Amino acid sequence: MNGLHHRGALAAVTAALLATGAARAQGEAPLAEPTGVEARAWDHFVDYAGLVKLMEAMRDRWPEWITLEPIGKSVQGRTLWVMTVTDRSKGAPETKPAMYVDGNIHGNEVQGSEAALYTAWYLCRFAPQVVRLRRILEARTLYVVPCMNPDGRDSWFHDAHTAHSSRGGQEPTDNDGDGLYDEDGPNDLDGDGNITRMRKRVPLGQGTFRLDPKDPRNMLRVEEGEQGDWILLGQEGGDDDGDGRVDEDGPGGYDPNRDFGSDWQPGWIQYGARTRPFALPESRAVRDFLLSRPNVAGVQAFHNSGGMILRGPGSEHVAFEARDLPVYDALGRKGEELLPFYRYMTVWKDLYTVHGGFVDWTYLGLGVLSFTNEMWTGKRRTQGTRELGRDEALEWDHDHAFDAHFVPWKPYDHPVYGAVEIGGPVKYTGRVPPGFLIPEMLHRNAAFVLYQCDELPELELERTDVRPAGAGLAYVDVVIRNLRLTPTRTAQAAARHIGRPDLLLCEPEGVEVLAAGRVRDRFRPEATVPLPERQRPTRIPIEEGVGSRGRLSIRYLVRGQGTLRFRYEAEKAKDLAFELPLR
Amino acid sequence: MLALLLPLLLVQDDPFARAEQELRALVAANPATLTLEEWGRSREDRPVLLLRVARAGDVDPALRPSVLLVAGLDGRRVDDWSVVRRHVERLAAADGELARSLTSRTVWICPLANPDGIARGSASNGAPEDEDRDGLEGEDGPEDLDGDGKALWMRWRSPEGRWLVDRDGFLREADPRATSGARERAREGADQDGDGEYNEDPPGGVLPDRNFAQLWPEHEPGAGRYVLSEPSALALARVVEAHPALGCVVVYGGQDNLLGKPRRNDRQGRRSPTGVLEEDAWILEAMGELYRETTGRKGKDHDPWPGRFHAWVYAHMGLPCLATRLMAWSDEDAPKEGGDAKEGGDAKEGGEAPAAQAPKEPARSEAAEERARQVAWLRRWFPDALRPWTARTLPDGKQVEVGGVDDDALQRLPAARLADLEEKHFAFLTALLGRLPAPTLAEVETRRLGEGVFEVEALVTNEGFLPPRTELGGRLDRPRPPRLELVVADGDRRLPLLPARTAPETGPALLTGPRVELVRGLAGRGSHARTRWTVRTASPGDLHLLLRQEGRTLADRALETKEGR
Repeated sequence: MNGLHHRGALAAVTAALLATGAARAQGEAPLAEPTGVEARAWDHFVDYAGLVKLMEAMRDRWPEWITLEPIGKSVQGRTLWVMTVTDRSKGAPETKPAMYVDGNIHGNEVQGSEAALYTAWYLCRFAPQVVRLRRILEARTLYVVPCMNPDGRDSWFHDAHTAHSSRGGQEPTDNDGDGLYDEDGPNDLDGDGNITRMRKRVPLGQGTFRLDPKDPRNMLRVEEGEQGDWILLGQEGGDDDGDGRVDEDGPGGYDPNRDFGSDWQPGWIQYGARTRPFALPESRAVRDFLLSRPNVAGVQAFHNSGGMILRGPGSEHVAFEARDLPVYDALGRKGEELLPFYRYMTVWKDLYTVHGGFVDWTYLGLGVLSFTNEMWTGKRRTQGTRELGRDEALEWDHDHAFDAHFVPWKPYDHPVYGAVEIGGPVKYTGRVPPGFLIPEMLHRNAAFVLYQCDELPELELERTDVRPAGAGLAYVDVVIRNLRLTPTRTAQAAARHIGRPDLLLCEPEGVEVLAAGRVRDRFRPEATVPLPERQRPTRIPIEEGVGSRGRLSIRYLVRGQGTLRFRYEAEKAKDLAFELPLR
Repeated sequence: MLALLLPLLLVQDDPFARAEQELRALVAANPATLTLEEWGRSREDRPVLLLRVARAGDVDPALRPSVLLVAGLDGRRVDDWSVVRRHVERLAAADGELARSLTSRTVWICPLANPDGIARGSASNGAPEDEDRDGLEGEDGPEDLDGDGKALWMRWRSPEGRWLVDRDGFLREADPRATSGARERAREGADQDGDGEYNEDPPGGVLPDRNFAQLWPEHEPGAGRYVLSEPSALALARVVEAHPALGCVVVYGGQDNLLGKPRRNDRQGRRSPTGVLEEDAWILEAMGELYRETTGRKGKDHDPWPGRFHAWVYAHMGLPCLATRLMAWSDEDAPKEGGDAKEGGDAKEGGEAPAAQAPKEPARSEAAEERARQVAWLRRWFPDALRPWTARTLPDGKQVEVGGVDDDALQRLPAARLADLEEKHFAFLTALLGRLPAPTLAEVETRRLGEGVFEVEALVTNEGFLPPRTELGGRLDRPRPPRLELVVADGDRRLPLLPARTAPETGPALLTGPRVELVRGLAGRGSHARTRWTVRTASPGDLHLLLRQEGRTLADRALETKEGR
């Protein structure tokens, strides 16, 4: 049982109820009792090996829908896996618009992996019974990279950590510039598997803290007029390299989410950056994968925590295309409905500045609408009304988790500080929910992903009209519509010439295509804007694509009788082909 | 026979293969001084080569103070290789002071930094791009219609033309608010994709010298899909990253930053600089003065930064980077207006003399002035680069004139000047070797405070000219600063001197002062930093002061009191 935590029976029940309700709503037969991976209770987190085992189990259960392939190796040699999910009987994965989902780029932000995999699991588990899911599975592709930082994840599970440590990867880094690598990290002094905190009793009046009389586990900062008899000494550790500083050069010490190529900045501007963009093998693997999948039209990255649905830009000096913002807003607001404890925010304005972040690159560099969800907020413990104070959080832990999340203070003889006490919250607090709240967190986030998936570009031929133009000539009007929120090409892609423009191809048989032009005003089609001189009417590049729930209207001038075979090709939508006989 | 000759013929047609062959021959002939390493392969699988020039000495050449010379980032600059090749010959044959210098210094040379560009004679490599956004890549490139060996320009009369033929015969872009043009122009070649445009989507490519991270112009033509997307650019970046003992980088290429006032950063706060920091400007000023004195060059800087290698070296690696074109049209005085700087020549067919055609103009704009200099320079040094306009009929029936200026020749060096340029730039390069940073443990004073207790004071100075770290290098923490440490000597072993708290009750111990002092504040020559410790030891001579930087031991000195060790 690798790294299992917070197992609770409630989760399986929740998932089953959700599913049963969905099935009944569709008028289908009630579900049979699930077995194997279908019966998985999503109420706990697993280490890297557990993730691989889970992915393999899902692939083995749904081999017609799921494939697994390696896309690269981590610094320490762990494989980065991508799971491709789609109904192949309805087309190859790369022919469908795709949603890319990843998690756990920060090693300690573990629930992102489970959220990414839960999305695929839920889709496959219930597609046979639920019509909307079945449609998504048939018409869309989901690329899931559940763990972008397997080294960081594994360290978080297997080594002593706080909720915040093991954020980066494990490539040795000289954080203090002394020529040594990772020589002074936190220490599990009492050997209990946790990095907690250290406190020291001092003479009354010399301290900055006092014990909370209601719960002495809690430390209260002394206010004016009060006297303290305790000081806090930071996290559990010591001065391993004897340089007078404590824990200043621990394992790793960089931020993988500052390694991407748009608006990348060096470390003195952006803490955590390496020497150049895509310096890490993990980022390069994901970069190369995405560059090889131009059908990706939406990106969702899972992080923790804070209850946020974030979009870029990460820096105030970077601008997003104004024409893409309404689409972002529509998706983000829907996210707020699906995730009632989350807020839709802009990274630099509402959180902090991030240079070289992943979702900045996927939008600025690849022209793909992209979100980061900061999963889990402590507000969920009060049904979203407020954050709990530290003392209240201890009480909540006492009532709901039976004190599982706090290591009682105990004495320790420290080589630098002398007699101290070690204790405090364990790593499973603060950034991840307790087991019984995990399923809801996963499901609501998955619902947001599947909503975005459903809103990827989908083209239909709205109409074709043929009208005589005299002397054997005819106007042929073709109107193509995008039924979904996501445009076939974002304004960013169009403005920066990212990827291949959409193409409207016309293959005439027995018909002469003389000219073509864009119809800008549906009520005055005669005011057609001619194509630029260089464009052939039989092969029209459409740089701006078909917009969000938008239309593309083209008028052709043709002569003769026969057939016109049309094909609209878009990197981020399923190709649309149709024929028009002219008699 | 043909099979035997074929490789030779191929090499002769491929400037990169020819240069690589010459380089390998030089290395084979001078194994004691020259070593060749391969740091990557280009997009078209040519090697990115790094030459190490060093003689046997006490210190591993990789750890010695060193300078890196880079050339060939712009594949049109084939003459730079001639200069570098001669540099290598001189270094290999060096004697006297230079030879001695090569026992303690290393010269690294990346002479052919854009192998694919050199092979194709272009600034860019062969990476596919869709310039005309029609969904196809490289489908309509220039052709040499008139068989003169170069695809230059075509012009034709057009009432909508954007170009005028000015009084000097230049094609000058018309100001649409004031006048209509009379000509259109395009690169020489037919409309291969039949879209009505000429040569609008040539094959290739990315400019490796626009593919680096500093102010990288994302999505602009030639910048690449991402920073260091081009394998040759990545290989070059890795060379710089992997050699922390570099004190300076010199680039022979398309930029000059040693001729005028250094380009200054104009941004405030924690933002990527647009030029050198004020605190670092003295380095370029001093090196510029040395350069101008040594080479005698005058002229204007040409120092664009976005995506350029030399800007990245400074802004991301923290190293002084000295860029030179060796010689440029802007070195020479501007020709007089209406002088002899005619572009191409009059058309043999099709009309009036250009001077009569052109409307009256105001004084030349800055761009026109620059163009006039270029044309005058070409006329003097590369007259073949100015081709007369001749009438041609394109396959689609269009009547055009073919000719104009071969702008690639602006990147050439005149054959008559090569020897002189090489000699002067070699002098500059070797002068740099004597100016590399040299952090030195200048003084160590040990004073007895009482029985078994001593105060130690060390003075570290920079005996070189260039700083061990630039101001920006300090922000980047690159290279890491010199590291000063008191240690216990046990034969050849060096053990940490532990603080009294953790040291054994008897024996040496550090009483006050840093376990490790990172000497961050050293700037140019004469700058210094002092550090003091108090130690407990029965025998000060058992304690040593170690000065190390980036894996290299700069000093390992036993403590001595005035009374002796």
